[in-house]
Amino acid sequence: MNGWDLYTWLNSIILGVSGFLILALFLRDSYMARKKTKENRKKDKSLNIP
Amino acid sequence: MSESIYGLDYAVILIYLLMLIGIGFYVYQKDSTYEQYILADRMMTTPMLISTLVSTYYGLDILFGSSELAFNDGLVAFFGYSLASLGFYIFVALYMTKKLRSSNVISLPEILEKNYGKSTAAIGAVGSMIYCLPTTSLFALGRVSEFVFGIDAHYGALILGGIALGYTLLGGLKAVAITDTIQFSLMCITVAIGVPLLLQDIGGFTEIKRVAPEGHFSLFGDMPFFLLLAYISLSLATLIDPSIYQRIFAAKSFEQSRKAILLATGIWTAFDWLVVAGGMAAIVAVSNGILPPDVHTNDVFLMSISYALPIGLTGIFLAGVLATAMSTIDGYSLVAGSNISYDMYRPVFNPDASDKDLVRVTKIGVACAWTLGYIVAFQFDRILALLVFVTTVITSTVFVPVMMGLFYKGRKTALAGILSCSMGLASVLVFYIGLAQIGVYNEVYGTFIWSVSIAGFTFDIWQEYALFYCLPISFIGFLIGNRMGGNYKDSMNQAVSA
Repeated sequence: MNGWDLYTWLNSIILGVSGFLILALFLRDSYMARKKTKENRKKDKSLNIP
Repeated sequence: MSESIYGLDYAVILIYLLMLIGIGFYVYQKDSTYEQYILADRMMTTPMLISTLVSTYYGLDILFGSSELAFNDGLVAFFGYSLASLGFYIFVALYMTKKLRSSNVISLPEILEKNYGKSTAAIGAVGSMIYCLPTTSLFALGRVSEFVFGIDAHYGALILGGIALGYTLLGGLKAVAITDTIQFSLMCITVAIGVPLLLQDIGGFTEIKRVAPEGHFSLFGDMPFFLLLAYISLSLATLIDPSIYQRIFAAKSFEQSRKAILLATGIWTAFDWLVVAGGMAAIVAVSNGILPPDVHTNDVFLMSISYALPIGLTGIFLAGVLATAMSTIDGYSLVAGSNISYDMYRPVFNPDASDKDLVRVTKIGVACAWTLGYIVAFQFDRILALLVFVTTVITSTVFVPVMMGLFYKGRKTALAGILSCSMGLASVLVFYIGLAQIGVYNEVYGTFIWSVSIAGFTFDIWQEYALFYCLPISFIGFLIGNRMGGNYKDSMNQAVSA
């Protein structure tokens, strides 16, 4: 294994971790947004806002 | 159909395609406003912004182009070409995001409108629209369809490109950003696994160094100097890319867009290197008989990674490859559609257009841009020639007036914008048509070259050198126009106060 192989491995780790992180953060944000929308809808219903 | 793709892989690809259609329906809003449709209401989260930035810019032209360049010429694909683009991205992040976000516009031609008036904006919109036609991606999508499904490229591009068109029409930038995020993650993960596996299979860079021609490990390769410079100059388009501008306008703040571009640049660097490494590894794969000796250089990355990945992951990788093309088709079609509606229809035909009108005309514009892109895509033999042409068109047309508009604080006249845009655009057309008439077609490089002798010296003028001539002509147009008439902004202020 030479320097170019190590550099490739390093970039693989950066790219793979970025992919997972972005997906995880996106799913978290989507879940939070959905939860917030549901809560707002519930609030609107309880206040009788159409 | 490829022998390295199995039933499970096809199931993964099918699920992925169905998911894309589902997302389009999920985010569909019947009465969305123009800003909701085209800028996702300026409410994109940072992960979405990063994903949509990276995946829209990274089309199959870059995936195939970089790996092809690495296969043919080696490390120059990364050190000569990719790094220049990445440098320009850092410049955009550090010096342009704040100016662009605070200009409070929603498209690139609108920057021209604010600085030079409607005529310049209309010419700029034509240049932007030509650049944003999803031509290269539809062409590449056709090639991938042939490899994956064994169907004719025309039908493949029509069906898969049609799915991208469908969810873009339904959900606008929000649908594009959500699908881009999923597509981007898939691509990152599979490339990150596939390239090291491929390197392990072929014996790593030690084996590549043994098999590859000598010049492949020279950082700037054996490519003719001016050709290398021409490819590097194409990276200037990064500074005026309409889809990157759209993402900056769609951000919640300039800080968010700056952070997103800087993070995206780090990811691009890693991605670029892996694609180059994959292209170089394919040299050994060919010499070992893993790939056929007559393999098309465009396909080396696709075929070698499909070989290296296990069943199931190959399906995810191929879905990611399809995604790469589809995310470029959707992103650029949307920008081209907004050029038609917001930058041509609104100022020229209907200055009082309502939000509803703009959304409707944008959707028609997206469909028109897609159709035009599909028709043009299969008129060309080489994807790189097409990419060079459209990049030269937009850079020669809008680079000078946009940069002067953003960075030059002195007076700017309406004529400066008109002459800069029109002389730049006209010079590209004259250069291309002229060189095709007087030049000789070179089969090796697939381009027209005109050899001219002056005072005993012979100069070769390549089609790829267009920017060397057209960009200065655009600048001269700006200087000439700027000597005539008054400052456009002053005259607008006077008109408002009167």
